Amino acid sequence: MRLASAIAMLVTAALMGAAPPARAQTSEESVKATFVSRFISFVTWPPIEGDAANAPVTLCVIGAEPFANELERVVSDQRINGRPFDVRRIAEPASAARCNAVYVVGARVEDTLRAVRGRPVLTITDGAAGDDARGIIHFVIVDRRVRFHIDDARAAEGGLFMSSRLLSLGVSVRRRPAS
Amino acid sequence: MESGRRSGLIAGSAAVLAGVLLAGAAMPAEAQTQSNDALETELDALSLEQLSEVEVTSVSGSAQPVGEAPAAIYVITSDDIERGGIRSIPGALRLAPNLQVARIDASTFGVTARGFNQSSGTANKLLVLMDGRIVYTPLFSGVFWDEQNAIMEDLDRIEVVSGPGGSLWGSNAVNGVINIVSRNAHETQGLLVTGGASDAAQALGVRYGARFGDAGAVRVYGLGLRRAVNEPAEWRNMQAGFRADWGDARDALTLQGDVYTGDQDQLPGQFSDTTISGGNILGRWTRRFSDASAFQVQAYVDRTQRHISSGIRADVDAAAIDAQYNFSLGSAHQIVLGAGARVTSDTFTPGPGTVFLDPDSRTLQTYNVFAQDTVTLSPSLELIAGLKLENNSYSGLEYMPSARLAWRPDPNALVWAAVSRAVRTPSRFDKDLINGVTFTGGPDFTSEEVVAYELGYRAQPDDRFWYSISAYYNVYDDLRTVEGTTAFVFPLQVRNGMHGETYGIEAWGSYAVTDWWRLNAGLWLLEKDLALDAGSTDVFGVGFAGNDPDVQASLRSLMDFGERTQFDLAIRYVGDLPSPSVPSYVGVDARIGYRVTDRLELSIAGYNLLDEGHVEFINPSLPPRETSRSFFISARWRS
Repeated sequence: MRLASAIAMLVTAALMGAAPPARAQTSEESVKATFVSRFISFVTWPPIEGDAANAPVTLCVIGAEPFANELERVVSDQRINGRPFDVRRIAEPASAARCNAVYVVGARVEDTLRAVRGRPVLTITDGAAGDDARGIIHFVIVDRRVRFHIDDARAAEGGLFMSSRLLSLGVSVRRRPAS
Repeated sequence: MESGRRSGLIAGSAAVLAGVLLAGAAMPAEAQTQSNDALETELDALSLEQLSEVEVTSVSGSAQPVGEAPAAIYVITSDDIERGGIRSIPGALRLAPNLQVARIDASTFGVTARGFNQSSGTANKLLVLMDGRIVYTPLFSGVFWDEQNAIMEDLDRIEVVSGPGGSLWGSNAVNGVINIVSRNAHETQGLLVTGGASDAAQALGVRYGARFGDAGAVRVYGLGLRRAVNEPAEWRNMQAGFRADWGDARDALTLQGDVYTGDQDQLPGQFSDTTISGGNILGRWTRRFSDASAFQVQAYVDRTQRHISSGIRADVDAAAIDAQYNFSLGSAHQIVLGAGARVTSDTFTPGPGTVFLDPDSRTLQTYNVFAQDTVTLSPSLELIAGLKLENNSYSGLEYMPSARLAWRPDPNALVWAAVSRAVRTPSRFDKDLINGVTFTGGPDFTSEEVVAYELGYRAQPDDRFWYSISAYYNVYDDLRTVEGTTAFVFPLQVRNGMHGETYGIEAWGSYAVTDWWRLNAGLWLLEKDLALDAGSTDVFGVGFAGNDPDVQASLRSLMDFGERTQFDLAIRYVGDLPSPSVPSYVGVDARIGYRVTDRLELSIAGYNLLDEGHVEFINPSLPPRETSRSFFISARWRS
């Protein structure tokens, strides 16, 4: 009797699960690295004088060696508007001011955010790494998927523009002040 | 003759006390990190939108960041809970190597840290919070675990701190703090159906989550449980609830609530049937001013009702409000200031011929203020000093200070040391329990006190391996005793006639043998040296303060075979208990999980595979009840 009800329940659940197609699981790191490489297309940096049109896009990583390796692999053959990527592992938050984007986790998060505040640096933090402090993009895991919060107000402080397509994907978006 | 009669009376009183003090029992009643080229190419081809729909498995989920608080903290992750095939909160707590969890019967558990477990399920030196709501009862300062339920998939984590947490959390955080944290509603979207069955238990939970507006999300859920351990004794519980979260980078709002009802049939000739019901609602608002500054205010109301067919009724209403402000002062100080108030109002209706509380209804108030300063002494050295002042209706002003030192000799290691004081404030049963001429409450009972000295080391030498080891020396004073007041012993009175020390070691670690195989191990050692004060006329002896093993050890093996199959094995050893005597036991659990599709997972788990059954804990007023071998088939489907 009890066994029958248990089996009925399993069968029902199995039927419900049969419909959607199976999809392989992927590592969190590679999805995030792909995201970081992709964000660059959807963010506009203020023009920097003397910067060559084919200067590399500098992606900096603080406190996450495995992520830096993955990011390096993801961007190895990629160009964006003719510009290659340059992945740099840096240790000092102050050095982040020279990056186009910085992915930072761990103990240096708050120092890094402070060091580049108001500068044209796309700060990327990671709630899934256990950090609370948020950069412009803040990764989180939602229902086993990599998602992110967006702080467009902070992006505005540094003169960055984020495309509406990117904004529409934010789990939450802190809007920039109306100008 | 007289001494025989006297010991008979004492035994009788012990039974009454055990039955009520102890009404707890009476009333009860990896991750796939392979960089597969095909997969990566596939990722490159995906649009941003598609990328955000790719399911991942988390590596970080199993690691304990070294940067955590300088305390003996173990975090039970949602991954641990899912893989453990866990279906109850006490079941999840078994995963924490710094807790003692002993099952008494279908719905009653003894849960404590660093000893002082109570065979009747009334351990009283832990502070337990669910999403910031205090869940221990003012009746006896313990937790009715049968009232604490949740859909396990909706839990984010359970933080278990052993050792005092009074300076931040307040009274009752004497031997530890358990913080049960549910997921943000943004993280529980879509439909989840989870359930399972064994020959003695069934469970079913359904949750649905949706978004609203720009930045809001909500989930609603319902769950039902049925468990028969010693038929006809059976426990049934139904619960429903919701959680709504709204937030942007500046403000976050949470509103959540639960209602539940449950009942337990007892064995004929034992305590009578018990019915429980209750509900709570909680709101929380957080504003972030900057990365280092935030304000939070939280308030809740909570009602619990417990009725026994013999006539005993215990109803408790609680309401609380807490506010907290963090900010930096210069570059070296990170300050937290807070204040809070909690009011409980209870009514205890005695059954015919049972003990009663005098007065039968009481409103208790607790007010507190606290401050904590994290001082950066050098880039690698931090001092955290805190003090909580709390005023309660019974014992007045209590002070709970702590000082913690954290030294990071390198980024992957933490050495910490702490000295802290915490108290357990008097409960209704300590103060107001009356039984005719034999028992006259505890008019002079004051708070129990601990001063704890702790030393710990935590390190993560590489990505594969992390561990934590800590040692403590706890000095207790004014522990509860039940004392004779005359040459004829009676009436008995609750007093603070015991003192002593405990010391022990809590260690755990995790090692990834390969990408698909992880081992977790834990070791727990406890020595107690308790004594009665000079002049104490205690009738029960120091053994009454707690029934604890002196060793516990655990080993878990977690294996992933490909992307779909998991095989986990857990072995647990718990040393023997002195009184009531329970032999040591080894429990072996195994689980196989199989992902049929991305949305559907099936599993089969076997518990206590080594023997037909064993006793974990004996409530002196009930016959011993075995936890028996069982198999549980379950299914989980997500949209």
